[in-house]
Amino acid sequence: MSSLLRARGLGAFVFIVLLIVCFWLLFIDSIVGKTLENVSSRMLRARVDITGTDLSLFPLGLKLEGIQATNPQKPMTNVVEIETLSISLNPMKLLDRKLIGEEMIVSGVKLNTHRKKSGAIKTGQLTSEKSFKFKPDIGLFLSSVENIDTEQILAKEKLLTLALIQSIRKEIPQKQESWQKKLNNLPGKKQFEQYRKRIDQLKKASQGDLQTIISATAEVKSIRGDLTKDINSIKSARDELSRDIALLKTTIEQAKQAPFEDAKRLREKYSPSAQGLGNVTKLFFGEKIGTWVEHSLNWYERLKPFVQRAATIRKQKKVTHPLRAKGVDVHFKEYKPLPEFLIRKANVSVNLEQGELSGKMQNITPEQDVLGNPLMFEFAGQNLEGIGDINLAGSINHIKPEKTDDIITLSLKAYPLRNIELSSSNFPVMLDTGLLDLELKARKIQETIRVDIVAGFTSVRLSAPQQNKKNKLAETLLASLAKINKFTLKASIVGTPDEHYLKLESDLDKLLGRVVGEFIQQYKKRMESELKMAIQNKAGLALTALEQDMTGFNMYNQELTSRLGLADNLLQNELLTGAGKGLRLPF
Amino acid sequence: MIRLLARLLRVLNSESEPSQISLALGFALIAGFTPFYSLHNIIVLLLVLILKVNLSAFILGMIVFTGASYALDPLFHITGLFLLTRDYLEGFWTIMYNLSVFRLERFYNSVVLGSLLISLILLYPLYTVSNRAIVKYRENVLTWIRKSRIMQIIRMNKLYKAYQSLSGLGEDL
Repeated sequence: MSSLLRARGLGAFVFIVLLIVCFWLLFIDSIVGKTLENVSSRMLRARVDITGTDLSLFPLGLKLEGIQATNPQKPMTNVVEIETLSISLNPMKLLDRKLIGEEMIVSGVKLNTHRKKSGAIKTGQLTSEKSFKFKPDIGLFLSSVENIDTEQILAKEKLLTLALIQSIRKEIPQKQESWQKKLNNLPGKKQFEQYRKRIDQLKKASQGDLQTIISATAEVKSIRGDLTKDINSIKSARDELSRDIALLKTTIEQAKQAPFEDAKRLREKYSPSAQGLGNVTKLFFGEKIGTWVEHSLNWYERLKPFVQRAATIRKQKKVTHPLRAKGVDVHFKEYKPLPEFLIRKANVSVNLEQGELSGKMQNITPEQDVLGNPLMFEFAGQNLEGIGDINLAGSINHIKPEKTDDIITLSLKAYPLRNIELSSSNFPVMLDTGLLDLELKARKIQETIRVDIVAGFTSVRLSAPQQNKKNKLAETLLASLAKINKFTLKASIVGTPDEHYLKLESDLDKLLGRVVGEFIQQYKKRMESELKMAIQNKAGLALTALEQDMTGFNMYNQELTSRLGLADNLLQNELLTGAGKGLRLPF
Repeated sequence: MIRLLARLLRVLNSESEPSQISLALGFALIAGFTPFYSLHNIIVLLLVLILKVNLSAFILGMIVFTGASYALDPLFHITGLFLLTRDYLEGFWTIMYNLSVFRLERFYNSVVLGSLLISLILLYPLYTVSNRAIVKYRENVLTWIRKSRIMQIIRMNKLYKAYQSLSGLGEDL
């Protein structure tokens, strides 16, 4: 036996074990601290600092001090700072490689504190948040009603006025040419002279024998028939000319009226409408609420790994990827299932400027499917300085990863608001002071989110600093805002984390909507008037030229009247009863 | 300090039977192939220290097998995962999974199980082959080296004698 065993070896083994224990006692605190810093920094994608770590063996527990977690979007700000965090651990479960904390006490929690050094991590980039897709811009709207650039509008639009003028200017010469041809074809001075000669011959014949007189009578009938026919054709031509002139005059009149039509059409096209503006509440609060929603969803996604660990199923067995190990862990059914990491109960106290907000959290684990219970939390702040009640409660249920159900409710009573920027566009509206009563309920079932907010603002003072004084609508809105001392707001957000819609209602709509509506009506009138003037200026010369062109038709009219007069004179005075002047028949 | 270390090695290396060297290599195979921070490696360490095995061979073997394990990790992973996901073994693994000692051993990790299993399978063949190889080496190669002219000259050198007196390893050669 002695040839097989080495007695001194046992001593060496004991020596090595003692060495390991000493090493543990000396360095384990800093090793645990650094490991936690590294792992949490990697998960948060921003630096997490822990100033003190104390791992005690009897009783088994871990105490962390001075935890600072950087806001990934603002490297000089801590999203949370925790004074002390202590967990009492279950030693028996450690043998099963499970970190089960029966109770965790988190005290001295402060939010959004300043950092001395930047918390940006070198190896990874700071994560960029998804930005809010709907960005209503009241400033853009205001600038759209600031100036009317008629020149720019007219430069890119085809005007009905100009089209009509062009069409008439083409038509007038064509008509004139046509009338000139018609006049040439109508009986004129030559024909009438021939009639006169025939009548003169008849006059001579009337003093002859009976046979001559009879043939003269037939000639009279013939001349009268020809003259009547010519008179009718001239009359008909004159009527036609009158119709042409009337038609052209109507078209010219239309061209004169066309600037009004153009101005109306362009006004509708280029002036903003109260409907296009949407509701005023959305302009003021839309971006703010939308950004809060996006911000919350980004944080939700970032914290999701803490409540639901990534796992894949291989041949019906759950396979998880450990954070720091080679290979994969395949998990089997446990007789008394427990997650690898669990904090059963946590008492948290948050230090606000106004006092302490205390709360409880239960079942903090990334493996809710194993535990079978959701994460629950409840925070309440009462008798806070200058604030009414604050209640925050909710549950994060990822027991079935394919059927998650998360609920958060927040209730605020008389929460003071100070210097809150509502719209950050060219028309920054500030809520200087006010009190907020808020009821918020947010629920996410799988990938469907629904958030309902009912907020009542009282003792409100709104202002709009650094305004463009030249903008009349801005001035009007500002005056209306100054009169508001209370309003209510209802918001609902429905959709998926990637695509959601915001619906906002407020009694501000009635007040400010009316102001904006009236202003837009005035603006439209002004725009129409300016456009009409500009179009008339542009088309004025062409319209005058048209009227001048129309004078050519008067000449045709006079010519036809003259011809008609000549023919009529021949018929009435020379041929029929001229009373000594005309042809005197013997019968 | 070097003298102290040399004496420790001399004490621990006093046994140099081929079987002791081969057994040391076998233990090195397990400790080198499997992840270092495993429960079974404490048992291996205890056995290495209390059994009369050649520690130099164990340390040397550890270095070699640990290096080889980096290349063999995918094989260990595939083997371990294959076994862990067999339906007919599920009952067996479930029983083990519910025992703290096996949970501490982290057998449910594909690399731990695969590497442990492969090293245990290779343990006996390695022991047998290395045992025979050492015997053959001592009978043929070592005898030839000792009798060689060059070795005679080296052994006569004062520097070599000084080294022998310092390390105490001269007897092995």
